[in-house]
Amino acid sequence: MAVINWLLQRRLKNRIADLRPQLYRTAYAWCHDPARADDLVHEALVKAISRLRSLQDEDALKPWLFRIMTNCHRDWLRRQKDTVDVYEAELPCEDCPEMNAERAATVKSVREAVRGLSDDQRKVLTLVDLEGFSYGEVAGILELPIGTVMSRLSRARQQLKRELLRNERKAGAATSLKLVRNQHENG
Amino acid sequence: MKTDKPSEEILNAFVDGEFCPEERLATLKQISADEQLSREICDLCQLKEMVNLAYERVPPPPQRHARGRSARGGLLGPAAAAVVMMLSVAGITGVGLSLQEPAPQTVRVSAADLSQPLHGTVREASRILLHVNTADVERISNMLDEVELLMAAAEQQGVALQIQVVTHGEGLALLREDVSPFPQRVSMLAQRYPAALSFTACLNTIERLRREENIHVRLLPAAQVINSGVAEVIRRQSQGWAYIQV
Repeated sequence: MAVINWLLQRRLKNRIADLRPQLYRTAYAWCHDPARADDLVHEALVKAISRLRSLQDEDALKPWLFRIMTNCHRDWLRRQKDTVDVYEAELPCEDCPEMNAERAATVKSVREAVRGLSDDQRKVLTLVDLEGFSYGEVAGILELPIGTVMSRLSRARQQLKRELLRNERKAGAATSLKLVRNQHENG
Repeated sequence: MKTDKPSEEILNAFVDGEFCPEERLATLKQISADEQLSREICDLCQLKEMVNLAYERVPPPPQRHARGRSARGGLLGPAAAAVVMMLSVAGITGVGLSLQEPAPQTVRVSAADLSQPLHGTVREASRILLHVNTADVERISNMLDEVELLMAAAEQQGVALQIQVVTHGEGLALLREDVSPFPQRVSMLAQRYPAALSFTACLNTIERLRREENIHVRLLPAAQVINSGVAEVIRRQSQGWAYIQV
């Protein structure tokens, strides 16, 4: 059955490679640093591949990968705690030049606001909003009760609302709708 | 009715699609009757959209080879490569290789390394049935890659390997002369490994296409016809063939 093993493992590795861009996007939302995010994804992929045999259900590959990346990030934060304040640096908007000014400003302010969340809140928010995980899946990935996932998400959005929508309202009621349309036009 | 107002958590769950249709409907009714609630839901939807927008396009990762592998936390560096190497070997040789064993220095990461043995200690023919019931070009292409790699490795190492590709339903497209995405690859593989590799087409599917869609199927020369794809799958499995659905 060695040949079968080989085939199955190759297939799983291909699926893991396909998920790399998604992992990177979420890692970037956690770190706001391309190099660090790439390192995090790399470390998570290496660990995932080394533990492929422990994956019980192929359908659960994606949450399983994100759980590994979450653990890698947790370890990394623990190691970094005493040396670098990861939130001190100015947040660059390296992809902003490609965007129009209004969109770039929104992207920057949202990223700033997301960065201002606690790590716990940021993880829940990004897993739900960027990856579309259900609350149950997020609870599994972060190893938390589902009620905690819900309360963290709620607090995260309250904070974002305070920081982002207050300014939007000042600028006029139509702005927010326009923002949503812009995303779809560019999507 | 302030006491009936759903909690923030419930509103979030509604926006995130966590409710079943009945709960959704009930909450929608509640929202439509309350202007403030409607605005809160609208805000939450807007926040979701904004977060998505903010990370729709993120800066690309820097070229890994262009930056040094620093010793800061999170990097596995050479150890990672060693693990990957070990795993490639473990994947190819199957069970029995402990991850604690040191990685041979000469092993390459590529799974296409034909020098790796295809079997452990048991020298017996491996028989694999690949069940194709999809017309998805990428999946079929991957399957043909796997077949090609395996056959080449088996030939090089003198290992007895038999592969039967069974197509039925949408998967029959692979062997149809008019629509096959890879007619030349199929012919080339079949010619190269006439005894060890076969491509078979389900007669039931061929007849159903003629009957229901008035399509008179012409098969590639390499294709062999079997009465029923499903029956063939069952028969081969009962004979001990490994079954893999593409």
